[in-house]
Amino acid sequence: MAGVDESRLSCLSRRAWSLAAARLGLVLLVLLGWELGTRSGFIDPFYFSTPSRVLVTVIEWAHEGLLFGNLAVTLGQATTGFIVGTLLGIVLGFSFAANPCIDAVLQPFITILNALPRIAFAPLIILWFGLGFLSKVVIVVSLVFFVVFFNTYRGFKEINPTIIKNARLLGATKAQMMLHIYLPATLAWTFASLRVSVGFAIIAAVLGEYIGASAGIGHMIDNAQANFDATGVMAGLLVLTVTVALLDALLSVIERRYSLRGSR
Amino acid sequence: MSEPLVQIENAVKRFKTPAKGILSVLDGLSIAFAKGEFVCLLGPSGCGKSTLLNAIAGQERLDAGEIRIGGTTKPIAGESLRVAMVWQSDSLLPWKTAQANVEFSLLVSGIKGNQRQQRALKWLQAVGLQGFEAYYPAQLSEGMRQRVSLAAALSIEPDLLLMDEPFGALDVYTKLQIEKEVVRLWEAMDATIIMVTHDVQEAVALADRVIMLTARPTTVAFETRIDLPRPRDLDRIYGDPRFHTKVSELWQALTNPG
Repeated sequence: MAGVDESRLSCLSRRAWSLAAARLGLVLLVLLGWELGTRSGFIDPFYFSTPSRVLVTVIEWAHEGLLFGNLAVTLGQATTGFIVGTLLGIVLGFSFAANPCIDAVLQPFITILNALPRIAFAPLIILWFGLGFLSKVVIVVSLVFFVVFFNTYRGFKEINPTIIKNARLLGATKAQMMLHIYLPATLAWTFASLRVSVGFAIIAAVLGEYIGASAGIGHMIDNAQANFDATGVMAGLLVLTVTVALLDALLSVIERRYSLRGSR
Repeated sequence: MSEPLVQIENAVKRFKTPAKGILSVLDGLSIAFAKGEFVCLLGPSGCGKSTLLNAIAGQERLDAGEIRIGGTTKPIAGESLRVAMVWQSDSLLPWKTAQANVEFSLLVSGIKGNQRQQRALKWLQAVGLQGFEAYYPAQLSEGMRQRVSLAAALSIEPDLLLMDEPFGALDVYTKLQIEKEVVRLWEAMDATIIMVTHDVQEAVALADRVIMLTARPTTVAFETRIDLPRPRDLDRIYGDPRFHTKVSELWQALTNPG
């Protein structure tokens, strides 16, 4: 038995390796085509830049001290907004679900607010909260909050009614129900929403910086675009993509560890 | 028979139907369950067996009539008389291990902290789950999850144990194994068990008394005492001619009512 399992496992890991190699190969192929295309004149580097120039620009930014300072600004805004939005979403989602009265009165307004195109509100938010840190945080919160709110709410409502009946029959107190049933059931759903909202948080912060800011990766991209500097725009996008990919990988590791004990 | 543990008198329960009609599920049903008795309720699907069980558990309100448990109609949770239930569907907390699930039912029943772990381990072992204490429900098979539910229900040492088709979804072999545990464990304690089932053989093999219910509105169609000797060995009982006589008697009553 053990021998069979082992060989299957190694076969799986071999497949994982060749899959990774195939993906890497595809990326290299595209980059090579792009580079050769610009060198041979098929692609206009003024509009499309070249992979080597983008890479050089990112390295230059790092040397000049632009990269990490601006990245820190963007990540700071995204993280603050993410934390505030998540906490608000959990607290309000939980209270709405637990109090049918609040829920009945306010639920339609939450739904309408969620339906509003909040991105279109970004210029107004900049107007109200200024060009600095605060306005970006508010934009991030406005996106993250709703994702977390609706997931938390749903998590509460989707609890298996048999679990509740059983606990009540055995004589569980309100506090015991909250601590052992409602809270863990709800948080499992909240957790599932966090990966989505991390991406949203970065997008929202960068968007705020496009519209009006004096620092941040979004601000750098906006500057480059104003100077018709395609390489600068691409370099900014590269930095953002790598950042989001790293954060996502980190969260997926945490999520996998957590969901092992969660629902099937 | 002394004072019954559970007495149902003139129970009435009606539901509104989507077509604005009224569906009468229980209409003046009366049954008494003696202390320490193992009773199986048999009956056609949708005849209100689960409704009745939920009403005994205090999770469903009757429209008329009353249910007295231990001589009182008051809500039953408390130290004086412990009630537990094994439900038709999963009642385990998916975020707690098997052991933590049993400990949870001990906790909410007011069992002191230092006893909980010891009792949880003891009852998990009693239902044949030693070695699986640290498993989460999603990692266990359906049969094992029902065993955990059973351990959780028995661990509080209930005076009254309600079971709503607890083994209905299990395969025949798994079912027999769990039935054996139930009989063995029940014979060693003095709990009253009321169990709803669809399975005539299961009812005869386990119970002291089988009550056959009619279709809606539910009344008692027929009841019979199962005088097979205790302690029962389920492996042997399925070969006993008296067992088969009882089963065919009940099948007759089920297929030719009136």
